[in-house]
Amino acid sequence: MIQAEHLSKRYRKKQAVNDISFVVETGNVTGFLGPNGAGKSTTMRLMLGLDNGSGNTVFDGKPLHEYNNPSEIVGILLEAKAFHPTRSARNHLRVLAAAAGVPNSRVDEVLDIVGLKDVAKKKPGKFSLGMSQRLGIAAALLGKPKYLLLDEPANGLDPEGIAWLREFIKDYADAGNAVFISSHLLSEMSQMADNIVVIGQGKLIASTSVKELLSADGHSGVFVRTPKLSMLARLLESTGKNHVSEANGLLVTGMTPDQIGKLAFEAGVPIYELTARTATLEQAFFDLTADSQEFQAKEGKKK
Amino acid sequence: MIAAVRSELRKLLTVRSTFAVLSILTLFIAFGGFYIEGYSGGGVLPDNHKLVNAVFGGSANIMPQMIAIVVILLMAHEYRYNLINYSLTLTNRRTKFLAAKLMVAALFTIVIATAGVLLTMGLTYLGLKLKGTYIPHQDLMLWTVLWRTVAFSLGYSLFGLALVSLIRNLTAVIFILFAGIGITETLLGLVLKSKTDYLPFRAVGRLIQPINPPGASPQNDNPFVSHSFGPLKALGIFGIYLVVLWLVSWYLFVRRDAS
Ligand SMILES: Nc1ncnc2c1ncn2[C@@H]1O[C@H](COP(=O)(O)OP(=O)(O)OP(=O)(O)O)[C@@H](O)[C@H]1O
Ligand SMILES: [Mg+2]
Repeated sequence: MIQAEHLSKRYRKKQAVNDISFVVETGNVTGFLGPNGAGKSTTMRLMLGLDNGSGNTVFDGKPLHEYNNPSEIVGILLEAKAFHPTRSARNHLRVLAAAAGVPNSRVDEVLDIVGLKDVAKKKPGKFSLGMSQRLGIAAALLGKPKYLLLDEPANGLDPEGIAWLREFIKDYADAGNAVFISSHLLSEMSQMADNIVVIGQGKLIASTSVKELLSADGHSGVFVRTPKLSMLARLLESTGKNHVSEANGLLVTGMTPDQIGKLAFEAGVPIYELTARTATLEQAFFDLTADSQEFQAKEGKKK
Repeated sequence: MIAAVRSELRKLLTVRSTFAVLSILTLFIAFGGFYIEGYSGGGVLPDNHKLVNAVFGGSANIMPQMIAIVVILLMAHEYRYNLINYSLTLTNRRTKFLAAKLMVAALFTIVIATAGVLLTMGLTYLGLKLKGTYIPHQDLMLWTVLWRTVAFSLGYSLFGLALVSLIRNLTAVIFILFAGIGITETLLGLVLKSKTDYLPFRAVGRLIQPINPPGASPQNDNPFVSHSFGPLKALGIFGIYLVVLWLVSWYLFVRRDAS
C-alpha cells in the first residue's frame, strides 16, 4: 500500500498541490483524475520525492529513500519522451538497468513485453508518441517493481495499444502489485481502474472506488438536444433543476424525459433529442470537477 | 553506489557526443602536435623542453575544455532529456547520484588527459622526426607534465560539472565557463591589480605555463598567468574555489526540485 499524506507544493504564486492525502491499495489499479493543471503530475513527483514540497509518502510503511533498491519498489513513467534521442532504445534501458542493478537480459525482456523488440537498436528520437510511451513503460518495468506510477501512459497510444495497456495494467495489479495511473481518458479509466482519486486545483475532490462513484446519486440524467439552448436553460432554472451544458444540448438531472418533454412543449421549445443516460465515469468526473476546472472552454456548468 | 557509477559510465559511452568530441580533440592534438609543433616546427629550433611545451603551450590549452564539454553534457542531458527523474528514483540518495557523476567525470578526465598528454608528446616527436629536424636531448618531465595537465583538466571539468548541476542549462554553462569567467577575471584584474593572481582561473593557469629554457627571456610567457606563486599553491587556491562551488552545488542539489 502506498500512503500519501498531506502532500503540498507551492510554486512562487501558485499552490499546485494543496494538502492531498490518499492511499493506493495493493492489488488494485488506482486511477488519478483531474483537469489540466490540477496538480496530478506534481503530486506524483511529490510522492517520489522529486519535488521539494511538504507531506510524505510511504511505500509499505517506509519512505522510498529508505529502501536499498528503490527500483524494486516503484517503477515510473512521468514523461513520454524521457530519453536521449540518439541513444538506442536498448542502450537507454541498459543505462537505467545498470542504475537499478538488474542484468541486461532484463532489458530484452521488457522490450519484448512492450512490443519494441524490433526497434531495440533504433534511436528513440524518431519514435512516435505511442512508441515512446511503450519505451517509458518498459523502463518502469525494469526492476519488477511492486508499484507502478504512470503519468498519462495512454496518451498517444493507438486503440490496440490502449487495449494492451489496459490488460497489462490489470494483470500487473492482479499479481499482487499496485498501479497508480493518471489519465485524461476517462472512459478508459472506467474500464481499468478499481479506485479513483480525483483532484482539482490542487485539492482532493474524491478518493473512492469506481463502483461507489458511479452509483452515487446525481450522476445520471437526461440529455436534451435543442436549437434553443438558452431558452431551455432558463426554463429549467425556473423549475430549480440542475443542468450541464454539453455539445448541442443540456444534461438535466432530477427530471424524467417525460417531464422535460412536457415542459419544453408547453414553452414552445423544439426538442430534437431526449435521451435518458445512466452515469458514466466521465459524467461523474465532470460533476466532481466542474467547480475546479481551471482552463474551461467557454461555459461549463450552470447552476 | 557501484550501480550508479556503472550507469553513469554507460551514459558516457553510449552517446554520440562523447565520441564526436573525442574525435575533434584527437584531430586538434594531431594537428597541433604532429603538424604545428612537430612537422612544420613553427620555425623554432627544438630546445630541451620541446615535447613538454608541446603540451603546456599547446594541447593543454584545448584539451581541458573539450573534456569539460563531455562532462558537462553528461549532466546537461539529465535535464534536457528528463533523465534526472529516473536517475533520482533509481538511487535512494541524491548525493549518491551526484557522487557517481563526480567519480565518472573525474575518471574520464584523468584517462583522456593522460592519453592526450602522451599522444601530444608522441605525435610531436614523430612530426619532428619525419621532418628530419635535429632533436636535442629531451627533458620529458613526464610526471610534472602529467600531474599538472591532469589537475588542470580536472579543475576545468569538475568546475563545469558543479556549474551545470547548479544552472542546469548547457548553453549558459558553456558560456560562463569558456567566456564569462575569462571576461570577469580580466575585468576584475583592472581593479584587483596584484591580487588578481588569486582569481581561480588565473591561478590555475599557472599549472600549464610553458617551461622556459634556463636563462632565456620569458618569450613563451602567457601574460594572463600569474607568477606570484608556484603550481602547488596555484592548485590550492583554485581548489578552494572549487570546493566551495561544489559544496553550494551539492547543498542545493539535494534540496531543490529535481528538474
Ligand atoms: N515548474 C513549475 N513552476 C511553476 N508552476 C508550475 C510548475 N510545474 C507545474 N506548475 C503549476 O502547477 C499546477 C499543477 O501542474 P501539474 O503539471 O501538476 O498538473 P497536471 O494535473 O499534471 O496537468 P496536466 O493534466 O495538464 O498534465 C499547474 O497550474 C502548473 O501551472
Ligand atoms: Mg500532468
